[in-house]
Formats: sequence, C-alpha cells, structure tokens
Amino acid sequence: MNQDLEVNMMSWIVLGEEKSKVKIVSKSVVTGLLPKGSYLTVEQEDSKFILRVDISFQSQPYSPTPLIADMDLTSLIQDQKCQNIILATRIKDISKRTDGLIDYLKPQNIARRSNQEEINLAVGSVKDGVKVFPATIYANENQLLTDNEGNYISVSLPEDMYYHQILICGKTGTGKTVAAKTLSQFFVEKIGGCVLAINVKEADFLRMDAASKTRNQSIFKEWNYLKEDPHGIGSFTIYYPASAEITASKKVNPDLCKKITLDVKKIDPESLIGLLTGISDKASQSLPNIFRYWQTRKMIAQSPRDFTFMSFLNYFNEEDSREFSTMNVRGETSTIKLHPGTYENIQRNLDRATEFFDNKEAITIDESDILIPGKMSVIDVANKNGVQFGSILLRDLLNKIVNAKSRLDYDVPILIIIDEVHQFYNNETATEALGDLDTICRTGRSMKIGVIFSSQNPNDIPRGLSSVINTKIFFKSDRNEAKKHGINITNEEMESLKKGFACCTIFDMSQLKIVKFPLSYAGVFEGD
Amino acid sequence: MNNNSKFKLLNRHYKRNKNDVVNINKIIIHPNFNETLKELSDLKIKLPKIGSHENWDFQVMLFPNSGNLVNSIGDIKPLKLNAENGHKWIKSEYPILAYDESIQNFLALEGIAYLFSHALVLHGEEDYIPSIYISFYFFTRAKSILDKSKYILESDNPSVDSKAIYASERKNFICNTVPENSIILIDGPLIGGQISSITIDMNRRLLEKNVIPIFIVKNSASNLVTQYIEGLKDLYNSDMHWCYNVLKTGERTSFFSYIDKYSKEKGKIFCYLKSFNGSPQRIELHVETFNKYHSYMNDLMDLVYYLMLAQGDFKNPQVRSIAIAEKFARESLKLFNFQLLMRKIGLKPTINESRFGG
Repeated sequence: MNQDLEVNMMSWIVLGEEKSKVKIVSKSVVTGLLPKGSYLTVEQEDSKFILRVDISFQSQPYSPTPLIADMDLTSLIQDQKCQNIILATRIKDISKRTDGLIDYLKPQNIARRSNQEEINLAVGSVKDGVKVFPATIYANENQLLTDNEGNYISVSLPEDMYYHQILICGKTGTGKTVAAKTLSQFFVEKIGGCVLAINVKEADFLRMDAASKTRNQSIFKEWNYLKEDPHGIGSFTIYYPASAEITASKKVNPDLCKKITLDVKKIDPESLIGLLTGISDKASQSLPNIFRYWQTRKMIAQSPRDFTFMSFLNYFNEEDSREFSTMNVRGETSTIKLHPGTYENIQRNLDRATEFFDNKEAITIDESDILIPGKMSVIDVANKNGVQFGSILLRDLLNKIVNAKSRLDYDVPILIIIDEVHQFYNNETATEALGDLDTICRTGRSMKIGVIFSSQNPNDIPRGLSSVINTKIFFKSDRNEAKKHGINITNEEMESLKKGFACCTIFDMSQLKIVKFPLSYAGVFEGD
Repeated sequence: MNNNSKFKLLNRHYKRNKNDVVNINKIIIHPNFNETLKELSDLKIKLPKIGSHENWDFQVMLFPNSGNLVNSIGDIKPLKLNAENGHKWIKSEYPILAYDESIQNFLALEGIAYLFSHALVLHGEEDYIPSIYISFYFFTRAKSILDKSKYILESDNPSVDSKAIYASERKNFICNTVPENSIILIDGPLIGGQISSITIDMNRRLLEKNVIPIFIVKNSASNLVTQYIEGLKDLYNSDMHWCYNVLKTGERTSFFSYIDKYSKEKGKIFCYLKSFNGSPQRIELHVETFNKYHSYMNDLMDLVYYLMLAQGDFKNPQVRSIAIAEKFARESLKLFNFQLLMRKIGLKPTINESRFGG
C-alpha cells in the first residue's frame, strides 16, 4: 500500500473511559505506536473532542506462545500482530450543549490525529507567537508530532509569556542558549521590542547579526515548515568594557562593537554597590551616599576637569579620619565615620574599578541606547573583570530603563537576557545586580519588561524569583530540580532529551509538555 | 508462486465475491435473523438474558458401527514430523484457513433458541482475517405458536434438528467462502454422528474447488486401530492410549484407512499425531481427499504439527488457526449485542428469570 495512503487511513477506536482516562485502541491499519504527547481528535455528531496521549503501549491480541521461537522455528507473521493501546486525557471539548452537562465520549467512535487547527484550539496557541514544535519521547527517541498527513505540528507561544518571566535550564550544549536566541530574535523582529543580553561566555550572543549555519537537513525542514530562512538581526550592537578587547577568534563583526565606559557624572550612586566584594550589606550601603554627596557637589561646582572617578578615589583616599559627608536619595546630608576595615575594603575596590570609568576612547550608554524598537544590544562581560563591570552597568541600566518606562518615556517592550546565570552569580557584585531584577520581575509586566534567566541549575536563580517566573523550560538537566519547578517528567524521559528538545510549563498554555525549539535563524553556527 | 502472488489472487477471489452473501473480513447475519426475533417479540415469547454456551462435542462422537475395515497404509511405525517444513506451507501458494464455531442456546418455556457463530479464519498477509456467519433459530413443538409464525421452526427434538441446521449452515458457509486451491483445517471429525453425510457432502464440494479439507479430532475415545489391527487388540483402552505409548513428541503414526461396510462414501484416512507429551490428536481426511492429494500428505501433517506448536498449549493441544477461529467465533457473539437486538425489536427479557431454564 502507498505509504501516504496508509498515513491518511490511520485511525484509532475509542474503547471507553477508565480512571478518568479515555482508552483507545489502534485500528489494524496502524503499524506503530502513537507517541505520548500526541493529540487525537474524535468527532461525534455535532461535538468534537481533542485528546492528549498520556500513556501509549503495545498489546499483542493473539498472545502467541514463545515455544515456536524457543524451538528456533519461524514464527507465524499473523501472530506477531500488535495493537497500540492508548490512555488519553480530554483536553478540549467543542460542544454545542447548553444544558450544563458534558458530552459522553462514546465507545467505538473513531479517533484520528489532530490537525494544526485543532491543536491550536486545544493548547491555546495564538496566531502570531513564537513557534515551537510539540514533541514526544518514546524509547529514548525524540520526535516531532505530525498530523495525519505527516506534516509537522507547531504551536505559537503567547507574547505575554515574555512578560511573565522565563527560566531556561539545561546542561551545557543542550540548547538553552539557542532557545534564548530564538526567543530574542522573535522579540525584536516580530514583536518589535528590544533585547538587552548579557554575554558571559565565549561568543554566545556576539554573532546575532549573522545568519545561522547548519548542515542538518531536519533543521532546514523545520525552517521550511516555518517559512523562514536563516538571517541575522538587522539592528545589533555589542557593548564591551573599554578596558577589554574582543578577540578576533570570536569572529565578531568589529563594526558592530562599541567600547563603553562608566560615566562618573551620570552613574546612579546605588550601582556602585556592584563594585564591592567581601563587605557586609550594611557596610556597603555607605558608599552610595558618600558618592552621591561628592557627585552632587561636583555637579554644583560645574568643574568637569576634576569630575572623574579618579578624583573621587583621591577624595576618598585623602580622608585619613575616615569621616565622610553623605547624601541620601532624598538629598538629606549627614556624616559617617567608616570602620577601618570597611574603609580599606572600599578603597581597594574603588582602586580596582578605576579602569571602568572615564575612558576617553569609549562611550557611555543609557536607556536611550537600549530602548530602540527592533534592536538587540549585547553587553559582553566575557573578559577579565567583565562580570564586575557588567554588574555595575546592568544595575545602572536597569534602574534607568525602569525609571524611563515608569515615566512613559518609552513604550517599546524590552527583553533582558541573563545567560548562564550561574557564571554571573559566582560574583557577589553580580548577585546584587540580579537582586534588582526581582523588583523588575514583579512589576515589569505592566511595563512590558521581560526577563529570561538561563542557567545550568535552577538553584542559581535569586531566591524568591522562582515564584514570579511563570514559564519554565528545562532542557536535559536534573529531573529532581525540574520536578521542584512543576515539570512532571520521568527520569528516563529527562535523560532521553536530545539537543533542542525540552520539557516545559508555559505561561497560559498548560497542555504543552514537551517541545523542540527551532534553531535560531541568527547566531548559531553548527560545526563552526 | 510467491507469497505476494498468493495474496493478490486471494484479493481477486474476494473482490469477485463482493456482491455475494459470503465475504471475507465481515460478520454476515443470516437473512432470517431479525425476522425470527421479531416473531418472538410479536408472540411475546421471552428469552433469558444470558444464553448458555452449548458444547457440541463432535470430537467424541464414535464411528458408526458399520465400519469393519481398518487397514494400515504402509508399515505401522512412528514417523518423525518436521515443523519447519510445515511452516513452509504457511508461505506456500496455498491459502491456509481454519474453521470453528460457537453456539449459545436460550431456553424458554415456549421452546429453545439457538445462536450460531461460524468463524472462518484465513492466514492473511500480516494478520488473521476472519469471516463470521451468525444465525438464530427458535424451535418449538407448540402448534399454536407455529400457526402464527413463518420463521419459528417446528421440532420434536431441537437438539437433533439444530445440529442438522448447524451442519448445513457450516457446509454452505465454508464452501461459499473458502477460496479455490486452499487448505482448510476444521475442528471436529469428518465422520461422526448424524451430521456425517452433510460433512461428507461439504468435503466433496470443497474437493471440486481444489480445496484440501483436513479434520482435527482431539479427546477421541475411539479404538479403531486397537480394535481391528492384529497385534494391538486387547492391549490398549483406546487408540489414544496406544499412540500415547508408541509415539514420541513430534511424531505421528502411519495412515490408516477406514471403510464403511455399507457406504463407500463414509471412508476416511487418518493418523494420530503427538505434538506434546500429552494426549495425541487424530487427523482425518476423506478417502477422496487422500487419493487426490496423496503426495502432499507428509507435508500437510508437518503443517498441522507446526500449527500445534504455534498454539503451544501443552494441556490442550490445538491447531493455532483453529484456536484463533474459536476466539473469533466466541468474541463475535459478545460483540454482536444480542440483548440490544432483542430490545430493539421490542423483546424484553423478563425480570423473573426463574421461569426459564437458561
């Protein structure tokens, strides 16, 4: 029989309901198992039911004896007939009933694989969201779901997902950065938002201007299905500390790179906490107020020549008495005498940070450089002292962005990507910067600020953030950790996840369990 | 002819019969089925809800007393069976089929109803392909009922008459369904009881279609061999007793011929086959079948042996395909919702079950 014809004829028979699951058996033309996670549609008079396959296994209707095989005799092919038994959950009823009752799903009805339209309806797929492929795992094999005609099924994730925060977890090389790239490219190109990504490792996010390259035919097939070609992001800028270099080995386009420095005149005093390491929280609170007093005085004096970070350092070093005037955020002044240990610690950290400030060859950036529709900005901190620089800059930028959006100066949505959180988190100063994200995560929804945290271990995410993250995507990682985050998957399934495949809970899309992210159209270079 | 060609030919055979009553992979209902039920309803004859499964054990029916000539064909010695050779026949150009039946009765005050399910199973390309024929009869002695009915049958002895109807139905169903140039394995004896002549007629019609009918008998208490063959007399309780002792597992006896004293028609060739270390089975063929396909006999016995092994039931050795046919026959009666049908035509089984013997 023609294989296409066979696929078209594939159907299953409803047997009835058992323990709240619909029991289904394959018709004899079905020659394989319908994988878990697939969707089936049953049409019954005026109603339609969409079911999700939760358990799928084979049964042998003729129960042949092993004797023949044991005697090394050739088996009867008829005895080898297998059937597929399915236990499925009703996830969507389309019914015209108005009497408040729910339709029976009657035995002996015929089920077929759901088509794209039906799956959209069942999982709540939106029209214009970022597309992923619902997938399945069976016997260590990952595969994409298809409809009865053998076409891929895709699901569009809701835009609101971005503003309800996203966590992406997975071991190195499992696909979490690629997923973040896919999500960020969609955000700038289709939603018209802007992206601010912190690049902490190699050239992960530094080549998003270039079209992805692959020789994998299945990737081309996926792109073809999605009617997309690989292409770079048009508006793309890399910012890196003036004290560092972006090496040629990263194959980054130098024309898109901009050296940046911190401007002592504009920096939010609170951001300086990011400089401090090995100091208690209470002690660290002194520095912003000391700096604010100095900064304000310099502004009033209008003496740009000595309005530099070095002059602040000198000011700080000259106070042998360790007694400083301070100004709080409300402009109230006071004095404080620092403990010798605190004083020396701040001194050391300030000295180390001088290279981040007032570099004449570099520019300074603020929210106006980031909040541009369709632009992706990457701050590269994958260099010496980069994380420390990045934590000060990020904190400063986040404050400015939130303030600007609060003032309604900008309505462009923004997506902030903290890739490899665990690398960022190793540094105390960065932890401080991430702490600020907590507020953003809780309040950013109304301002269309989204955050993607990407990490090998979900425990790297700042405490308290987990509860405000509504979308959790786990590539191959620790199953127990995934379980803590509400992902229901077996050990075997987690261990079987191949590159690009992930289990998930998606905001407002509870029926979607396992997905494959299409390869990002930009910034991925397989075999490079 | 290779296996694919065989199935192409089979497809043609069943397409040709598309508009006939008989078809493959279908449940066929006797044309008078619903009318009979309707009459029962009109006459307010109530049947019990659940029928009794009827075991017509043709297996143990003895040969007629008129037989007097049993000869061995060749030396009496155990012969080795070759299961792998038997399997080759599954793949040969000959389609393999098997037949079994399931019968239920429903005893009412007014008479007795019989529900027959005849199942024929073909070894298809990848699956067993069943053809089921279901019929329903009601027998009564009551003239008052018969006067008002067209489909209810008169009978002083429903037990005998139902067997005659069953045998006749079986003959027609098998003869109309089985493709030409095939092999059919039938559960039960060729000659035994009052249905012998119908079975022999079925055998004749099958031979006309170049079909090889092979009858499989288990649990027989007959003593044809031990009664008539010199040297075995008085030594064994039955033929099975003899075979159990002389045959090793995977062996059969040589063929014996039985010829009826009064009717040449009632002749048969048989042997005993021991597939497991248990009771042997008797394999029977009509004399004409044996004569026509003499050269295939060793292979066909290997085929039966292979199918016994395929079933793999040590305690109750059975040909695999017959066991499958039996399952289809039984399951079709379950699938075929007799109670629902009765309700549909207005027959409501009474709550007072104690009225009925079923």
